[in-house]
Amino acid sequence: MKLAWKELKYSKTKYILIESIIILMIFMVIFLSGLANGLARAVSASIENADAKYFVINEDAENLITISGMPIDTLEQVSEATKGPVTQLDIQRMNLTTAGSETKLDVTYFAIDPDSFLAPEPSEGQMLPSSGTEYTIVLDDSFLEEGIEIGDVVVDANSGLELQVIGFIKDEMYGHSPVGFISTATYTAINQEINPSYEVKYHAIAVQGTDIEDIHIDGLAVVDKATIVEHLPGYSAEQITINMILWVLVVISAAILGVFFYVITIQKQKQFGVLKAIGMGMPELTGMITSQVLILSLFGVIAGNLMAFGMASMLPSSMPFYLKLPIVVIISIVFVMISLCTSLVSTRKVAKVDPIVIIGGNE
Amino acid sequence: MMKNEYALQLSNISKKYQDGEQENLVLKDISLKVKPGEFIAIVGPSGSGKSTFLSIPGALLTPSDGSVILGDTKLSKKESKKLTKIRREKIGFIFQNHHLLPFLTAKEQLQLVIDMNKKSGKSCMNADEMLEDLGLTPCANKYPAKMSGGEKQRVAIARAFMNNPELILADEPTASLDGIRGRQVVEMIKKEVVKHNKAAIMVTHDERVLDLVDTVYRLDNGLLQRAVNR
Ligand SMILES: Nc1ncnc2c1ncn2[C@@H]1O[C@H](COP(=O)(O)OP(=O)(O)OP(=O)(O)O)[C@@H](O)[C@H]1O
Ligand SMILES: [Mg+2]
Repeated sequence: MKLAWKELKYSKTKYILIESIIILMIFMVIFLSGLANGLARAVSASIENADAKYFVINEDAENLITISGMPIDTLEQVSEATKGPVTQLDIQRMNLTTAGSETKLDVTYFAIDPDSFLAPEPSEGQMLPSSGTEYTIVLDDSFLEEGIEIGDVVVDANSGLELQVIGFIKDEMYGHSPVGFISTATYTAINQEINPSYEVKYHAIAVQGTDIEDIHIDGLAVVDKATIVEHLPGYSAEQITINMILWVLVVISAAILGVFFYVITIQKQKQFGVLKAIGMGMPELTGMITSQVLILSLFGVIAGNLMAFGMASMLPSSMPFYLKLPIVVIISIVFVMISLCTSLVSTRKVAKVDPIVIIGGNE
Repeated sequence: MMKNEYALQLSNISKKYQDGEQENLVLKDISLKVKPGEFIAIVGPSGSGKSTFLSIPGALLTPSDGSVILGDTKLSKKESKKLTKIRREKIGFIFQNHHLLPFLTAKEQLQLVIDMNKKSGKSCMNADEMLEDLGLTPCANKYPAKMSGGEKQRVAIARAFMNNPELILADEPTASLDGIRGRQVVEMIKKEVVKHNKAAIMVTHDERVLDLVDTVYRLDNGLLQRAVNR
């Protein structure tokens, strides 16, 4: 609406001030959502990346792959009960040291069958070989920042087993620790080094397909990926906390816009009185208020998003920051909607203005 | 329908305000007829009900009793949407304080009235001609903050005429101006009233401008009486 825009333009300074607060609030909210997703990814990335829909684990493992365990012939049983491919998966948190250094580096092993669908696609170097006598490992690329390169040898801290780094892979994290992919054979060797009487077991069986109805094995349960992710240690607690802060901020910033706007509306009561006196109806006045709030909130959302995305492109890769477009869009829409709702308070105020206040001498 | 001979017919208007327990009868059984092209003034002591009286044909206030006929339309009570439409199409207000919108230029103030009446297809005045007529051409693109008091009041006059109304209502249009400029403003109103053949009612304190109007009425004690010719 013309009138709405002219008024914004005329009182530039006032509205730019309000607008900058809105932009900063939106920026903060979007930034926080990036952080929330980043932290979520730091916990769950490798599970989310895995090309599996379901995981077969112990019934009493509380949906945690790491504390599950089953004999190796389970793989056969599961394979027979579903049409698509299945494969074993072991997840264990350990430490690595590099040759010539005492510092222990956190790592979570994903022990897999190199020929299976869980085998990752390295961004640098090679995949784990199907077989071979050497022990090899493909690491998350955050190890690059530790100075580890392809061809280096890292040592499993518990067993002393030497592993050759043959590749790096992007964005593989589990429980805030970077992931190293090894073959099941390497994993077995590590464990046998620690405990000579170690018997090969699997933590979980990953199922690629969706036909899970026939998988009925005593003591085992089929759990979908989302459930596994949700029960990762720390995941829910972190997400609930951050998301609560986030949504409270969304509501607060929309409310702040509403309050500012209400204050301005009160200041302008006389103007609304004049408009009513010269015959402007409530639909037009509502349109004017709504379009002003819409302009302010839309512009704030767009500018705030640009700032957040600009900032994101400058952050170091080790920072857990990850903007998810659908979430950003939802936040933006919700903000605009709440802003429009709060503008109803201003509209009500204007509806109550009696144009008769304009007549007579009162200023 | 035959065009009414009068632009405004007020019959037996009374207005009472509830003042706590007491009823305060401000207007007592007032009747008044105004023809197109007729410019009348209302004088009276402060608090005598002049603004109240002006608000009734202005469709801002409904009388406690009596009827208002504006052109061919009888103002009915309590339909604020209809009253808004009547103000938009049939009435031009000139207020004591110009009450221009600070964020519109002189020309935009007039254009706003045209835009507001576009939907109903009512024919309006030409904004440029109106500005020219009132000697406002140099102010066309100025905001009210950059205009003098007299200029602002003239823009307000132009705005009141823009919707080609049945009736012009002015409540102390000269109160914020000095004698010379006040007189100029009333002369402008007079000129436009004659030119466009409008009925106009002006409330004023300023005895010096009364020679410009056709008829003077005095409101006192709730009664409206024609003032004796000076
Ligand atoms: N909304 C209201 N409620 C109750 N009483 C009112 C109201 N508006 C006006 N009055 C009373 O009605 C009387 C007439 O008021 P009005 O404003 O019409 O006077 P006026 O002749 O315009 O005065 P002035 O010359 O000072 O502008 C006053 O006594 C005033 O107190
Ligand atoms: Mg008054």
